[in-house]
Amino acid sequence: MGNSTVEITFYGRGGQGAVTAAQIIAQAAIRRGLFASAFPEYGAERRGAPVRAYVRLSREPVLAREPIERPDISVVFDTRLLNVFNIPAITRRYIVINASSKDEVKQVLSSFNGTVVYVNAYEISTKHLGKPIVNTTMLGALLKVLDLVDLDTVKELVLETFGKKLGKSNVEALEEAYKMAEVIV
Amino acid sequence: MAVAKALSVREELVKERLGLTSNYAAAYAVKAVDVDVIAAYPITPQTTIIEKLAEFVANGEVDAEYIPVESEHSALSAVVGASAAGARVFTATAAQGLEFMHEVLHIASGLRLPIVMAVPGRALSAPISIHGDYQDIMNARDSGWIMLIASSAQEVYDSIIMAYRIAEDSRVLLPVMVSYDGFLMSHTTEPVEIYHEEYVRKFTPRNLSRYRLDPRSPITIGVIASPEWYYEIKYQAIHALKESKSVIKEIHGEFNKFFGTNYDIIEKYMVDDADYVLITYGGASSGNAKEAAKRARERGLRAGVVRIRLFRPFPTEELVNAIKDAKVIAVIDRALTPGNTYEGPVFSDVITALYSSGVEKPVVSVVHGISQRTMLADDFYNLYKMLDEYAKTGEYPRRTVFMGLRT
Amino acid sequence: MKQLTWKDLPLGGYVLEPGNARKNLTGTWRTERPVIDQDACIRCRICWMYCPEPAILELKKPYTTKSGKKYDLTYEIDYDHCKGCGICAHECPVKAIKMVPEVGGG
Repeated sequence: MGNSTVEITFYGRGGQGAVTAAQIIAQAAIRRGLFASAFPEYGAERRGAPVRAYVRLSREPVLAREPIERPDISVVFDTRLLNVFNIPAITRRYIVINASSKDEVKQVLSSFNGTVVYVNAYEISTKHLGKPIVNTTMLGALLKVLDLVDLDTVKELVLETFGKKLGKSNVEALEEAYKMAEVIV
Repeated sequence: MAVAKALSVREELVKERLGLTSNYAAAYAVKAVDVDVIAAYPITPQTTIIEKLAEFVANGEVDAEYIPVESEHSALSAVVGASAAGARVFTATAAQGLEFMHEVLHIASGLRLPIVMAVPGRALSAPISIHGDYQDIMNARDSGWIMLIASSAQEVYDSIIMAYRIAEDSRVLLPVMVSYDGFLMSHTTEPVEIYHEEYVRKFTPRNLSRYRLDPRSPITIGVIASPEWYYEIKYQAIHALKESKSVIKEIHGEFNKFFGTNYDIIEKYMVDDADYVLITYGGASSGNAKEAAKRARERGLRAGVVRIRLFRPFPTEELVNAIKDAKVIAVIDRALTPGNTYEGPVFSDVITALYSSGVEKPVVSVVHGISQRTMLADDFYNLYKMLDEYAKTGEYPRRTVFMGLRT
Repeated sequence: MKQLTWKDLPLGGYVLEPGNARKNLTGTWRTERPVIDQDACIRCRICWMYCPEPAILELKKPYTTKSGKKYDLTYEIDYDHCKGCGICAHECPVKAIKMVPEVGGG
């Protein structure tokens, strides 16, 4: 990442943990001495409604408090959100996407010129958590292309955020996603 | 040299650097100053402050009486009582909750009680909105409280620490409201350096030099005052509020020295040689205005920002001094005063301040970010361009500009 | 008399002297005064409890009624502070308190 500020938007649905994921990434960066800001674009919170959460990471204090219009990285929890927010058109560099297969990715992101990180997050999160709450899984995939924060710090924060028992299975999901995610150029 | 000293001061004082929302930062500050009584009622976007405090109390990290009351009216009433008995108290609210508290706001200041309250501002119903603006805070403007408006989570943390010193100072004895942007700060995670509590407590020793309810030496608080007395007693309080400015500045100076910070009652950003100045308050307006000033400077416009940090008492002289050499000024309001000549409330304050100093300037009233309507740094950059245009033509709007309103 | 200025008054309108309401002689507000019939009074203390002022005095003053009943206590009215509200007369279970019109402003 050449820019001084890296802008990431998480796209999810209410209840999938997009806001928490954004906060974990910001906190991981802060723990490593960077500057960061993370904030959600709230509607009145409703389970299932589309949610955006923004993260800015920087080596300098972050002044701007505006929504991210052109993210460097979009983390997409659900392929059906792509069109809701016009994600392929506004994303500058990477789309990290939860999809059922590489074929599906090729199909839904045919118009995107940047790099795609594909992970089957529903499968991985269901395996480890027993339900398709994909936020920690998506963080594992994101870490493939985000070098400002490291896997260990994020694992630490996942454990702190979710507590001992839930934290452990979330870390497992995170680690598996980190291993399984594929970068498709 | 000064910077190096400040850095070494902070190295000793800072316990850890955490990623906190402004709400959590408020809770951490309350924990650090060691309060006796917390009474609050949940309301968006304030709730996470008192959730965090409830957690601290439950874990034994804060040794305070936590009163989960049945309404905001009761929340403030409970801390009024506790404060009258000499307790160090805290409450927090927003929006309809602050409105419901409204009559007690006047009681708290009228009784000269050093209460500290955090308010992440939110739009008022109707229509129902949970989103941020400053209407609730603006409506509390005339209730006689000292009002600080912070612009970052760090500043929220630091301001609450300062607020206890200010409120309890025997030259002041007034409640202090520390407000900030609902959601755009209350729910934004950002870095906060929290201090070792021993240092915070050293800075905020309990100041009990006031009359308190004590059965061993009975006094009466809250009696009726007939018209022969009410006016004088009210004047005492408004006089104290006005005079508190010098004490607030003094405590800012002490805080800066102690904690290695650089706070003032207004914040000036690239103002010294600025032709075009945006006057702002709160986090989103100020942050985006600063970002826009940077962009405008890159494109050759001499742009600057003055952020109002102390809102009541109003920093009249400081503000006039900061803007007296500017060519054109705009005041960004995130609240409304409906039916007034201009609808931007702080615009009117700025005009009054200029009038009191005999300074005449082109000043534009701008309303933006109502109910958290998206504000972009580019909106503010466009404002600088507009101000440049006004300077060239000598013509500028004589009514409030409602930015982003669909017409 | 020179009245106190805003600088002289206690902060916040606090009343710093305990019990100084005693100095406010509200007895002049009355249009009717309660009068206790000491022979009918059964010393039940209800008037003393109900008086909002409080202007019922409970005195350690022995009294023997016409019928020969002996009491250690006597209830009297503090006419300096009684506002004449009549609650005592209303509450008295034996109708031993009568409200009597003040003549010439009490």
